[in-house]
Amino acid sequence: MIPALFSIVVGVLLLGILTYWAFRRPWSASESRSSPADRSKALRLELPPADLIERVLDPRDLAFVRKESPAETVRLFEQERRALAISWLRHTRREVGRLMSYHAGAVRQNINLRPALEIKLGLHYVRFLVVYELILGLSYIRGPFQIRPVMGCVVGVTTQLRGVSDKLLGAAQFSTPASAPPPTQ
Amino acid sequence: MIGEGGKVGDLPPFFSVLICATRKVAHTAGQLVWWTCISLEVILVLHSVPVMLKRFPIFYGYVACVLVRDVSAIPIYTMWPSLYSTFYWSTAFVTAILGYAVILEIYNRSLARFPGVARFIRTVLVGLLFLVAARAFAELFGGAANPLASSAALLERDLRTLQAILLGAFLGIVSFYRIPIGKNLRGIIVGYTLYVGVRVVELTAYTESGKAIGIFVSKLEPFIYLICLSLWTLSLWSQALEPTVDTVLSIEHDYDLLLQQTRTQLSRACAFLTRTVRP
Repeated sequence: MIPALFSIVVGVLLLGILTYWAFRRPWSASESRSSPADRSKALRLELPPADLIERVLDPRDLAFVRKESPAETVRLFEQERRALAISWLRHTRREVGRLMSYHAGAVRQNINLRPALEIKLGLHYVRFLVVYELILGLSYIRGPFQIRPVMGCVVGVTTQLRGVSDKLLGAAQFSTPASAPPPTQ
Repeated sequence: MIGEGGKVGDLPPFFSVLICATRKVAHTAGQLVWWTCISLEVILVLHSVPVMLKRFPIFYGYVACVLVRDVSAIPIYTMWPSLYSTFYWSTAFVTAILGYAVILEIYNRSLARFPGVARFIRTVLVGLLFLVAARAFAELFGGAANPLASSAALLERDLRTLQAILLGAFLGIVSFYRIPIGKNLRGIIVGYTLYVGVRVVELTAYTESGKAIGIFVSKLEPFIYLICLSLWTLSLWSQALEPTVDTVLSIEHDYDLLLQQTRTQLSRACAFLTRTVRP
């Protein structure tokens, strides 16, 4: 029975992957071409501002609204803050997605591509997506203000990320033909 | 079963003649699908000469084999019905084996300009084949109640399941690395993957779900195969150029730098989100 179940799952999964692959928009030549500006954008990893999420999920706001307003207003307020928190998370997801997309597009023709490292990278990406979905789910189930303490950690790492990203961008810009120093005699 | 499903007189003369010739094989709707499939196979093979045949020799060889099998099935079914089952399962096994060659051709054609990704896929394939071989050995020598190849249908199911895994891995990697694929090859991939996916489900239903469900599911297969043949005929009717790929810019040449950058960014983003779920 287990092999049969396995086969059914594989068959259905394959049809699902095929549907996704067949109906998605094919990449155009212009999209696959990476200009220096695209590279800068992808490598910069423009994460949303750290202060924003701190402010959006400030518990003092919630306390104030709860004290001064009826239940319906509190509900609306929570809905809006949840939407903002989710938007912030999605922005982070989009940036990481763009980074991975750029990486895939850039290395695909590279003969030195190392399968083990690529698989490792892919697994990291999957892990990132799982965690992202988990937090997204939590924000729906527990509400935006309940996940505030953990979102605080996000802010700290965002700052770190931007620092590293800027360093990497410097290295990348230096290696592009447009910004490379002139050859010395 | 014989001619009870439809009115032969309402059909075009060509199909009427064919259906009258095979009245004992299936009812009219089934025969119509059958003969349409054979006609499309003939058109596909004849139309391929000489340009497309040179580009996809293994795929057209596969279609030609299926055509020979389909045409041979009629006299065998009518004259030696007792041999039909053996004939059907043995040829199904042969075409399943040929299917691996088709997958290999798909791999080679689509990744010819992407040696790094091709090497990656080869590694994944070797890993998958090793896993499947390990499973087969475990079943053969582990005294499992349902050993591999205990029947033709089970063997074909296992062969097709492995093909489905290979095609799934291929589609996943091609999607991730945004490998551009031309119209001709795309048609072959979509048609063949659709057929393999449906065939795996059908064979599993046939071998595990009892005869009634198995027969019901197996009735769908000719229609799906007809869709696949139509896709192949349409996509391979004219030769399409392969999409152009830009040359690699300087930063993309430095794989180590790029990989390091992506890994650093991703692991930090991941750590950042992981920390958020901890209280």
